[in-house]
Amino acid sequence: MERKILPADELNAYEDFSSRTLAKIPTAIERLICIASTRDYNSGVYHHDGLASRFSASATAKALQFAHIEAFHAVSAMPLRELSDEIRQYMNWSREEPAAFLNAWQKLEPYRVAIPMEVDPTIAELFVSNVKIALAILRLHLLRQTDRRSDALQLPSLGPRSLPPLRS
Amino acid sequence: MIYLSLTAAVLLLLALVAMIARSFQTDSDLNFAGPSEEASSPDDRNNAVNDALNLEIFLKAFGDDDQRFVETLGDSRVQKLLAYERKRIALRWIGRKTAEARSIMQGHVRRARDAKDLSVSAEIRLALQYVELLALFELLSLSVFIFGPAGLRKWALLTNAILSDMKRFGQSAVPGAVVP
Repeated sequence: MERKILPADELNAYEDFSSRTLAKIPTAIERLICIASTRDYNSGVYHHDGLASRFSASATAKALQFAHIEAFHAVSAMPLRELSDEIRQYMNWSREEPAAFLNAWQKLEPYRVAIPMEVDPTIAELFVSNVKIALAILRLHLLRQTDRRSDALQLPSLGPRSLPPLRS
Repeated sequence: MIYLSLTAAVLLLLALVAMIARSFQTDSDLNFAGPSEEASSPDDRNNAVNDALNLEIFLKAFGDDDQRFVETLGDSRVQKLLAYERKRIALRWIGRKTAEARSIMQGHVRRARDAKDLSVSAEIRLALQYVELLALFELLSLSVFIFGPAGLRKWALLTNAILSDMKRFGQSAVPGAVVP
């Protein structure tokens, strides 16, 4: 989407939000989750008290909606290598146990909440599909790490021990 | 006689594959807007920009980067998952584009009924484009189902160009129509 098509007050609200909030968030997936969290689950309307104090509630909602779609497109267009790396960073940042994090994300699929309402359904499916594959990749890395650790923890083999000679 | 039986068997097999491929094209729960709402949005310029962006994102997923990256991991389950997911997404896209073509044609037929001065050549051109597009989508879904989405990029660009042309032409072909 082009920024030029936004009306002036919405564009100002969008630029304010981008520079004050989004610029401080290191990864695209975190930016997407952050913006999605400003949306009311029941009404689908975006709220941000700080922005609404400087701009109108309507301009704030439109700016957040625009930022949400933009962040969503950025994540959807990401190659799998980059996406799995971003999810790994987010997982580390969450300080959750990697196994617990992956279990929750693979079973509950909380990332579906990050999909904006006004996006192309094929791109929404592509996003879900890419996140599923990225999680499978992270699970694979985790399993390999665990295997390596357990191999390293095993005592070095001393070979078959010879039995003590039998006393006659 | 044996050749006739073989031909019939091949045709039946192709029909079966087409039916299975179509079952993958059913709409998912992620279609919030729905095709009719998308098609009737008032801001055409915005829609055109979004369509181009969506196609770009969609086609990017069918490049070689992801395939190569997953191969370096050396895990057959992840490779199979990627192949399955890409095929599923490709078939869904074909299904949606087929529905879009049908909706354009239905809209045009509705407008044409009220038109006062229909151009026969324009109608024939539109009908031929529609048949060509449906045939291409059928072939494409068969090819994706059997061989995977490897050659999808070229065909997706071609079908999308025909669809855009049909959309433009379908709206302008009935000048005397009473547009609601």
